Amino acid sequence: MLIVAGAKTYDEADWLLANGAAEVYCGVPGLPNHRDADQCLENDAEFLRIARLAGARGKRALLALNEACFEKDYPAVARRVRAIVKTCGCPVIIRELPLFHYLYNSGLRAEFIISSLSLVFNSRALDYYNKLGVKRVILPFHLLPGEAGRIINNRRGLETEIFFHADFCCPNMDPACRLDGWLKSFQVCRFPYTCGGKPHRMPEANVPQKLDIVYDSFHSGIKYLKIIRVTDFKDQKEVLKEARVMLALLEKGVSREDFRKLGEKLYFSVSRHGGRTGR
Amino acid sequence: MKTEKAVAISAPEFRGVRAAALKGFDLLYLGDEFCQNLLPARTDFGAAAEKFKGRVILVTPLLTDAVFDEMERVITSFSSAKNRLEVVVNDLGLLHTVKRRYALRVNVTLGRLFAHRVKVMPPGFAARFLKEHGVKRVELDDASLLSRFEGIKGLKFSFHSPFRYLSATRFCPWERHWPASCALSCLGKTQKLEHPRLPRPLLLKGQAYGLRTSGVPAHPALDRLVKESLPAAGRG
Repeated sequence: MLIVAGAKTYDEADWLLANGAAEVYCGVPGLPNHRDADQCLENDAEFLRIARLAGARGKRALLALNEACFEKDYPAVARRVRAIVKTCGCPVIIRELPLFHYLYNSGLRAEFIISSLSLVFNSRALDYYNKLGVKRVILPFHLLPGEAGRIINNRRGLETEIFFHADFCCPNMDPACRLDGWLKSFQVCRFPYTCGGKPHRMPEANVPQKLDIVYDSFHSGIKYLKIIRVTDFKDQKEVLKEARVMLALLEKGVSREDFRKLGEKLYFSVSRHGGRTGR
Repeated sequence: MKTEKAVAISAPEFRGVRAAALKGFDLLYLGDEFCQNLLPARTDFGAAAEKFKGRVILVTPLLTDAVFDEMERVITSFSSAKNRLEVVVNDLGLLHTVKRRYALRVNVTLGRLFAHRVKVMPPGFAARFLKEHGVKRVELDDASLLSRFEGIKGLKFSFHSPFRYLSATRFCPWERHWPASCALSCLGKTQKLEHPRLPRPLLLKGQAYGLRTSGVPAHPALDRLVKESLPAAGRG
């Protein structure tokens, strides 16, 4: 599998591309993407520098456009995206149908990648995107590789990508989860609740369950493995290392049982996993 | 205008339901908007059509390919141009398939999950999108959403109570695994989750977290009330 890693700066992209990522994806302020501005690049020019850097190494940079925006902003967004794509030919990760249609109808022809946030749960949903120049689909977080066989082996030749679940997996389905918006808070899903007077957490996949997804992702024929943008880049470096070692194990043909054992050690070698085991 | 009364029941619950529990309702919503393990097979739908005197509506969540074909079989078995089947749709693949293959035999109703995707669409796009896909009705459980849709000509609204969904998961909170295997542990249960920062408790019902609704809004296009079961909360 090829690693796709999120980058927040040129230097991060440089490091990621030099250390095993085949692609980096980035958001730019003002172009709607699923991160706040502090997790985006400075501007369009920084993205183009990254795209040039990636291209020089035979790799690629992807532009994240995986969020909604106001209709009044569509023309400006389209103008900027068109200029970026024209300059570097980068693929575009897209989520919202109206913006996608607007870009396509305004003549933008790019390699479009359907965001996991578009919730493509079955192969029939691919039919909808048939005429829009889609080249790849990112599986939603809560769709398992074993459930996505017809998407992965689709007749249209679309590539597939999946998140590196051994790093991160939400308890609930993003974007069908509106808890944060309701409470105007962050990660409401991870609050320490009580239920019937006893401590309670919203359940999420435990480590063996997460490792099984990675194992199945590798063996199901999914081409790309996605590592999310992480606030602290030191953490992300550890995650990339974890992913590379896991992929090396899988390439060696390790059994599921052994992968679980070895994977668990690797999982807990990552600092940011130490405090949240998911058990 | 007459307000229709509907009762929403998952397929496993319906298998054990008494006829008396269905009395007084004009419509039966059979299935679930949040979990595909609670959907009716053809035999369930046929049994419901026999047992229930009113119209039976097929309710569907996000669908994986594993259940998509069976939902299509339910549609083809229980619909015709003369006897259209109403289907609550939350999945883009199903919405698109119904448009392409079953537009003449299915009345499409937009489910609550999908309604939250459409509410952020520019109004013009949303109106075209719903019209192109033959959507005639939108399921709601939040009165504030009415204003997002009421500008779209010809739409009718259903209102669900007493449960308003806020979040959904496919990692089963009752059995703590992904949905492939299911012992139906959620049936007949609700959990109440509390935290000092919450203005009121969260409820877990099936695969959805949400709130108890507070009253039904009045609106000229709201002509259907959907009653869901909400058992008294326990630890589950």
